[in-house]
Amino acid sequence: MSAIQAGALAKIQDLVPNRIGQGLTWETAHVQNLIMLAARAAFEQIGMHHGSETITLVAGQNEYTLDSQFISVERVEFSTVGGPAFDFDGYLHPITFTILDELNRAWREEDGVRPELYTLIGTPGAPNSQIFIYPALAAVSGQVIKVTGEIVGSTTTTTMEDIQDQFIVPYTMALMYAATDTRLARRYMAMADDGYYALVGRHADEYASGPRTKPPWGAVR
Amino acid sequence: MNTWGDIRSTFRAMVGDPDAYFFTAAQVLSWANRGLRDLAQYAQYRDKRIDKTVLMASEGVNLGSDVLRIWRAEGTVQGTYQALYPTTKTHLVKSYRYWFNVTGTPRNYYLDLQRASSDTVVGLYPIPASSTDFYFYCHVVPTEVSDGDTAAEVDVPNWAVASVLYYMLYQAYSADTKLQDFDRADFWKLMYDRQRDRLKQRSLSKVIPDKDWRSHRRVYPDIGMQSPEYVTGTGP
Repeated sequence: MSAIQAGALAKIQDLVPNRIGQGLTWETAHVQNLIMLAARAAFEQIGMHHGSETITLVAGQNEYTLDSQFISVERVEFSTVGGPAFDFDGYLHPITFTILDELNRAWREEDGVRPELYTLIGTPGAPNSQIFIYPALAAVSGQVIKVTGEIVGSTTTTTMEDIQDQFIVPYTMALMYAATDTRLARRYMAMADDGYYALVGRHADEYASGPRTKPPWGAVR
Repeated sequence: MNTWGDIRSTFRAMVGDPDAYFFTAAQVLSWANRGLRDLAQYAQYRDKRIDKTVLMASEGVNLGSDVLRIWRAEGTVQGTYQALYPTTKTHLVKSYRYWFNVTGTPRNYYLDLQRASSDTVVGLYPIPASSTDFYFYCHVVPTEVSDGDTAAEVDVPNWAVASVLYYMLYQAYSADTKLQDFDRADFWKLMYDRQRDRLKQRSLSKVIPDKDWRSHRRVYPDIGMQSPEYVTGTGP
């Protein structure tokens, strides 16, 4: 296990010895940028990195801005108290506005002591994307929600070596060679695709039997 | 690499044009913004709520020129916000000949035959009898990047920032310059299309149903949290 940028750079330097550096075929900083492009693709496609954000609730407010690091929202939990003694004792369930309308056309006017449902406005990760909770709280005393999902990592995020070997390195090599040899670039991209199929199953279905409900866009994976 | 400055410098490094000899700053900027608009139009990832107060007797409301599609409208009905339902002018005409004279609390909105410019104008039915507040939830175009603010984050999901770069590279290698290379252009178009398709899937299915995780069925007795000495029974 190693930090993504440093680990992948070392592997790539082994593949193209003496060609990365100042005045050489590829500048080091440029290759590092390409590694992080490949890493973002890995975070999004393989789903190997999770994180969470705690949002303090405001009385009467339904909408809250989400951190732009999110790729997807997988779980939202509610705590009646703020930190550090959180008591996340319930889940919010995903819903759509249409279903809320069917439940009660004047749902927006309701407030309560515990949010039960949530939906998303804007794709997670987009600037100003939001989470919408229902009902809003009538009064607050430090209540929070914790949003958990897949997130984009950083240069120092550690990953297992096989993720670097099978996906990040060939993806980066494809980006590097696209400027000079597209046939080689396509070959490396095909290797990254093979690595994706080998890795995604292990991360999407952490338990051997997998989840009962797969994401609706399962075909993309 | 989330800022326009980062993407622009990476682009220059990848095409080998650090001094803007083949591609001017204006060209590069234009390609980036075209890429953003294409992503937004295809994936419709950027949502925005537009709040409007419509005066009495106004037939419609102008939402501006950055709206791609309205996916929800709410208006105040007896003091509470409730959903408005889409209809069409054709349906209104067929339903009641003098529909345009009906005033009251708007319950429906229509969009057909409304557009006279790039602005999105929403028609309301009935015409508001008093000043009414509305929420319009829309897919909108993203904020454009500018060379005057290279530190600004690109208005696209963090994980999909590379798609803007790939679109720029596709355009660059398609342009009629000495760097023109349709094979490379095709490669970058392929990379762009892959990201764009994934962005569309994640935008259509942004709300993921609850997963019910299951582990393998246990073969041995489930002792749960008990210490071994308290486990009784001989298993299934």
